[in-house]
Amino acid sequence: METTMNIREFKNISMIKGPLVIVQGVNDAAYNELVQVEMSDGERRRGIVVDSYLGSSVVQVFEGTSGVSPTGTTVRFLGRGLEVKISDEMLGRIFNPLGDPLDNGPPIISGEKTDINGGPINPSMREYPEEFIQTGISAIDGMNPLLRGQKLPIFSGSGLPSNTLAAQIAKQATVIGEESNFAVVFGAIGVRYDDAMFFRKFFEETGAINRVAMFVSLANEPPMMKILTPRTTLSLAEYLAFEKDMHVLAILLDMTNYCESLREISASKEEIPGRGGYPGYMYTDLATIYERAGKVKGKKGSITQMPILTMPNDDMTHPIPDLTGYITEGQIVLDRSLYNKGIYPPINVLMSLSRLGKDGIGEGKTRDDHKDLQNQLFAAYARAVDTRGLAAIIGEDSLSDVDKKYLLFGEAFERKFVTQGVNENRSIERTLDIGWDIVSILPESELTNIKQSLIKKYLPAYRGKQ
Amino acid sequence: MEFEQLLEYQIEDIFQQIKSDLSKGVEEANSYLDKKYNDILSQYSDKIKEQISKREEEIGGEKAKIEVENKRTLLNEQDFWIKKVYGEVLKRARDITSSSEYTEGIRKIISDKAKDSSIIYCNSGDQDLIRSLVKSAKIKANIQIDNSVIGGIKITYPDQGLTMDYSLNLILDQVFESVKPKIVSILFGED
Repeated sequence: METTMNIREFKNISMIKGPLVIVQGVNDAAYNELVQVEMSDGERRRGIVVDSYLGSSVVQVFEGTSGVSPTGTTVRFLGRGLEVKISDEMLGRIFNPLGDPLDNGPPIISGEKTDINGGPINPSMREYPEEFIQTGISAIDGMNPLLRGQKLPIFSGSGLPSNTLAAQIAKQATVIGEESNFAVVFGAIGVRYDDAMFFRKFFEETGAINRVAMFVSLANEPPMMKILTPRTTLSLAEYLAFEKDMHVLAILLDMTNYCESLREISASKEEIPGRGGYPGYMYTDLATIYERAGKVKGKKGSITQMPILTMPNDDMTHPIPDLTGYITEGQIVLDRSLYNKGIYPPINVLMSLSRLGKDGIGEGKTRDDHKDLQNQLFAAYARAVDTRGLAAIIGEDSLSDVDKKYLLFGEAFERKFVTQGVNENRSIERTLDIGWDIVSILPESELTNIKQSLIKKYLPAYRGKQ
Repeated sequence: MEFEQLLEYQIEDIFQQIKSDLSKGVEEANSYLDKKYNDILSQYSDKIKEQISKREEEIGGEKAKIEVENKRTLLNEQDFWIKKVYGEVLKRARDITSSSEYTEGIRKIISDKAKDSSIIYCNSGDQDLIRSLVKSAKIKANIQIDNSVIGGIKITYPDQGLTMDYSLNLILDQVFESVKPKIVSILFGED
């Protein structure tokens, strides 16, 4: 058991600037050392050392400095970094990023205190992702499959139903054959109160709450709390995956709020801004979060990450999605034009990509027709979209019969394959069968991406005739 | 006779044609009925499946809610008894202060960390001990009573605005936190 006797108290506050408190007389504060700020009325707040000089120290107070006065306030340096007690007791419960319960339950009793910053995984110990995760959403499972250990973000836009999609994935996602060993850790970063209530209610009503641990920071909380949320979430994910051998899906929502908080803190520290006003180290900072995913040799568990971000102005070249795209292994893109047509989930499969998906599908993993069907659906839908453009110019009546079929296919693809209910959980077999149903709209001669043997096996016209 | 044979032949021909048409009609009607039947069967089967899965989900949801509520209640109860144990430990903390190891520990802290003009805070029960230790260390420190300190000392250096905490409160908190899982298994058994 490790105890620390290096607790020092100081009363000399020379400046309070925004969320920052400058304490004089400190010569030995460690960077990122945990601090307790006790006000004259006895209220205690927590903070962290963000700058350390000989003779003074800059402390960022998590709960903000409102009401903190330079006189009568004691700043206690606790001699250790920010550690949160992590335990599998957290499943089914809701916490803030500091590990304090938000669900009227008691603090965590058993567990290990963990530095929430974690550490990078040894690259030579990483295993390549190859196992399929069934999310129950056809546009993901069928076209951009998610594999165990992959990091696949969802690029959303303002007003698009990313919350509903995230909740549905958290509820439905499972590793086929290992359902009992699957857990979801959900990090809600800077969300509105009603969004936080929506998630809690959704998980409770659908029975998913038992296998979900939530860490919530609200939109009106200080930026430091939002910065800590994904770190605490991933610390629990790492514990459950590599200590308890569970398959963990980590959903982080919304990474845009995280980056905005990073920008706010950077500006308050008067750092020189980079692109878009975001700090120059944002790429590294995002990488320290996104890289906390994967499979490790010798460990049975895994962490799969699905960070969700909102693209400001639907602009994919914005620094946040741009930098995220460099680090992660593909993206699922939500499209406003699909949403406006009433399609849920409004996933644009042409702009989406799962870079590792091809290694987790096919015979022995999903089904033998998955790869070919996926390619055919993609090619046919791409042509359908092109044909729509052509029809807009020359008119639908001037199109050839085949082109008209493609138009019908495009409509069926969006309305039957992509569209599904919020509570509709499709198995991979069901997804592929729906794919075959709509692909049968096209003449067989157009199905050039699918082997003949598979056409004879799965095309509806041939079903039951073998 | 030839005319009658011809007539019979024609009638037979027409009869066969009508029969064939009728059987085609029946076949088409049957096929239409089958198709309609299958459509309705499929439609209502889907509806029934949807209702079943909705109810299953509702039941699953209620079950999960109850499980989580039970878990929370159980943890709250455990937390109550753990706090009670902590309270009893606090009451008995003064037993530690009568030991020779405690005296030796305080002596070492005072000789290493206390300076002239520093202020030493201690419990009223330890006042005499601290006074004698400070005197034997030949340090001109000010001793003040702070009964929130259950044992041990806190040293303030007014010139630096720094206070170092060497109290039993701190050690007890940290030790108790680290042995909590053991206490849980003693009180409530292993999981």
